[in-house]
Amino acid sequence: MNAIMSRWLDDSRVMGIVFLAPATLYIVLLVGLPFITALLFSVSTATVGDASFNYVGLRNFAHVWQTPAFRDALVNTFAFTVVAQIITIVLANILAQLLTAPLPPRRSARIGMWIARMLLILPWATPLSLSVVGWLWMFDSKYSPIDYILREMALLGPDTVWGPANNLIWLGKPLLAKASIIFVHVWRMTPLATVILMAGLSSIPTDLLDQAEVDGSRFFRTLFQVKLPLVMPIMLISLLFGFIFTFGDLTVVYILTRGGPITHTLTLPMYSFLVGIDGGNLAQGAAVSLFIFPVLLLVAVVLLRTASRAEIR
Amino acid sequence: MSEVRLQGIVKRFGEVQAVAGVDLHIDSGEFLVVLGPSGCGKTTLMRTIAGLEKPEEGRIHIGARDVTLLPPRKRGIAMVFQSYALYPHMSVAGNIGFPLKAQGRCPNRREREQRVYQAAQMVSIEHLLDRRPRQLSGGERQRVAIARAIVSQPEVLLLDEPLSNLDAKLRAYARDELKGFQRKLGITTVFVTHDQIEAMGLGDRIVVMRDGLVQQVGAPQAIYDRPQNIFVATFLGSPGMNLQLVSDQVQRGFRPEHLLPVAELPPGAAHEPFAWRVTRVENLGSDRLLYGHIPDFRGDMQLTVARLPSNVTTEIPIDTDCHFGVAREHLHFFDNESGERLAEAAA
Repeated sequence: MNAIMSRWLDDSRVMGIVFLAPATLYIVLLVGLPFITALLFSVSTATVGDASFNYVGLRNFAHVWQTPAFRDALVNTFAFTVVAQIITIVLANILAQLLTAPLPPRRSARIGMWIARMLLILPWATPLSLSVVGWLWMFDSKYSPIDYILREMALLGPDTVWGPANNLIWLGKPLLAKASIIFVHVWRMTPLATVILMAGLSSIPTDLLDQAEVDGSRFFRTLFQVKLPLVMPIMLISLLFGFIFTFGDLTVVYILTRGGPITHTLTLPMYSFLVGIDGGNLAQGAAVSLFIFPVLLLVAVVLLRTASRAEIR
Repeated sequence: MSEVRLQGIVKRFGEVQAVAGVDLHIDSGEFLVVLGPSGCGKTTLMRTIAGLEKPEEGRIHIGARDVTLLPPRKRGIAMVFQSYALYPHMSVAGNIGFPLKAQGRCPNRREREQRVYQAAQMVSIEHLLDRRPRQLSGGERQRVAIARAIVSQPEVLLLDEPLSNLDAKLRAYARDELKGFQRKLGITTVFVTHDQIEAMGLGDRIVVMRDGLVQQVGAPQAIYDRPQNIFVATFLGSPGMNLQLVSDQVQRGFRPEHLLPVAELPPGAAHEPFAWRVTRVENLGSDRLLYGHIPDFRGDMQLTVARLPSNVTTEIPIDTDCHFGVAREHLHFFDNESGERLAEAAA
């Protein structure tokens, strides 16, 4: 018995299967099966009340495509994702530069940097649903602290630039609601992007930066011609993460606006949820969500290929 | 080409004093080698000249200008790092042209390309201009780094162990080339190394450093022949100088190649006899190294090495008393306490 056991333990084929099994099981049960179910639903007439399978071809997709709400959701999803990613990557670059800057040799400086890095990671470490509820309060139509501060600064209220109303009603006006959603996505993704970029920046050999200095390069030239090209592969990976998280995210929109006002902040995941779960039309809900899949696949392939091409060494 | 003057340079990192007060005058067009063991402050000294480190005390002049507070780009220097520090995402041409672009000294693109080509030609890499650094061998990378350093026609060239990443065979060749090339350009050069062979072979003068302080400055042969203290005596030469305590105050030193069988000593020269037992012989082809022990004045045995050139064919029996000697003129005397060389008269 022991002999068999020890032979198995030494056999990389047996142990390989054993070690891979949990991950494989996880992917098959929690990603693979739902995905296949969604594929099947999308070509059927399934509803919450009747999950029996009647094949209808691509009719669900055609129907969904013609819905104005779907078009809004499609445009919003792309707009939110792209705008949020652009802002995130710029902010993350600035933050990463600051947080990897050389420190004066003082204890207080090291402690300060440690606290700054801690605070930075907090938005990422907080459960998303909780932090978005926090933002829901921040954007409250009546008690928003942001409005309060603006009022105190005499920017909001009667006879002010943004007055005369006492509140901006962040989530009730189309443009402000869109901006709020994008803001929360940026707030949420910036820490991860910053940490990834910090890792990239600190892996640049100091010799190279010293060389740039000796060569006469100043801050912006060193940033754009030496540092950024060198962190480009890892920056693309961080973009990929951000893109996938934001594009497929339901939590932020669901908690803040549920797609409103009207459909001004509707996204594909939100619409899919509204149609498929709230509306009970599983088939069309599945069809909506499946529009996300090819987009994410394409983005992943393009970014990963660019990253591997930009990789140096 | 400019002279470089360092006055009382002190550089601290926290509690550590990396450079502890260095005065140095480098002549225009000179090839100066800074030699010392790792951690002696030689690289920090060079980085201070480059402007990558700001000294806590002291002044640096390049030519007539006080550059102490100037950033590297305003000093008219170029530097080659030990790792070569080539920009991996740029072609060879991009690397060589980078200082020209960064310093904005050559805004005309055609002219810039021409200067890049000339610099590449100087180190015979003009056929590699389109390559990326990762496609180059170690020797080629080193040339790219040198081309990039000279393209902006600096007044002073700083080299931080640029040969240490090359294999031994290539190194001898690169040494020769570097020296020839420096002579041709006549550029003031500071070369940092821990390799005494490089230092002896390349330097017009050598600066030996230890613990952030200059131990001795002088022509290579002069330092070798008259080391100023015990550290220099034992650091230079391979193996270093043999030392023997002759009294409580004095150590006597002699180089391995000067400890010879009595029959091989120059006839008529006054010599100091040594009777010793050779315990081991190393045959190095061109030389034989003999290891044995010679007693000091208290009778304690001290490891001693002799180096016989291969044309000395005298048979050396192992574990038998042999009669060796050192010509008087080749004996050095040092103060046991301070390690400093004692005046010849005192000996």
